[in-house]
Amino acid sequence: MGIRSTLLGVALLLLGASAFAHGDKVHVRGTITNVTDTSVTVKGPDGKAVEVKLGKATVYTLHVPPATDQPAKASDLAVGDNVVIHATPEGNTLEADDVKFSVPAKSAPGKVPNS
Amino acid sequence: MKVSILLLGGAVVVLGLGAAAAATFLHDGVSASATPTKLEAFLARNARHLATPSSARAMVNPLQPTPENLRDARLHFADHCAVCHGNDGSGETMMGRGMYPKPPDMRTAETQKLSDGELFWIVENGVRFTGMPAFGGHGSADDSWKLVLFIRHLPQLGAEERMEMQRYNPKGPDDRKEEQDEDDFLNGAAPTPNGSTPSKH
Repeated sequence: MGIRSTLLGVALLLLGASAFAHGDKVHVRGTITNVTDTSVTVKGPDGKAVEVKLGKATVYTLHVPPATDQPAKASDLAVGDNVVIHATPEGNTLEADDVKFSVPAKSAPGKVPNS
Repeated sequence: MKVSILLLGGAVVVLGLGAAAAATFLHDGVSASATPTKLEAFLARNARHLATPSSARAMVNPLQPTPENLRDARLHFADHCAVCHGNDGSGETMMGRGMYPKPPDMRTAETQKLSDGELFWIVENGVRFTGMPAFGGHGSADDSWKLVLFIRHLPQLGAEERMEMQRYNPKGPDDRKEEQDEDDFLNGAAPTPNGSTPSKH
């Protein structure tokens, strides 16, 4: 019991140490202008392009208007799709946590996510 | 006399080193957004282990991972736990990143190697000096045992399960408005002026 208390006390004293901080989540919204196996580039109406890295843990959702969401894959992303990405800053890059996209109405017929 | 001087000198050196360490430590303030060192994490894990009664660690989950039990736990987790732990158990949430220590990534071995009884005890009793509260006494023990089943399932959590959980996550007015704005955009509404410019959440 004495050893337990001592170890617990030492551990709690050390819990005040500090190292480095993480960044905030960011949201990216726009139209896909380029997509590769590892990243997607999104351009908004302001003309600014933002590249977001795609990772193994990224979750993809196809939004079918008006309110249906379906699981999707990275390979379902295509240039011209509208997209909303929730990403985490890692250094100078953004890493996508969630990618939700829809196919513009004019090209929607016939496009279904690969399964 | 000589011994006394040596002892006094040693005490002064120790105090001096302690003061220097404290000054270094506190120079930039003590922020909860920092990441604990490996030593701290190691000591804290062992302290948590020691704080769990051995009888609790030996408890066996009386419930089976049926689809019904897993769904109950999934929705419970989405409503009560995900704000800190994330729907996927990664701990990568705004709340989680702001805690000290951070919630663990429950998909990794550090959590998965804990016994069912240990996980149950942590859910019921919380972890002192962390953001993990004690949930015992606010429902049946079955709720906590179901959560243990779900924690075991986290490494295999599917996209459809995550999407279902997102509907049960607590949301404030700002979150709901943002979600609606995003759906409107995906439905073809005019994009917002900030376009692709990343906006903080």
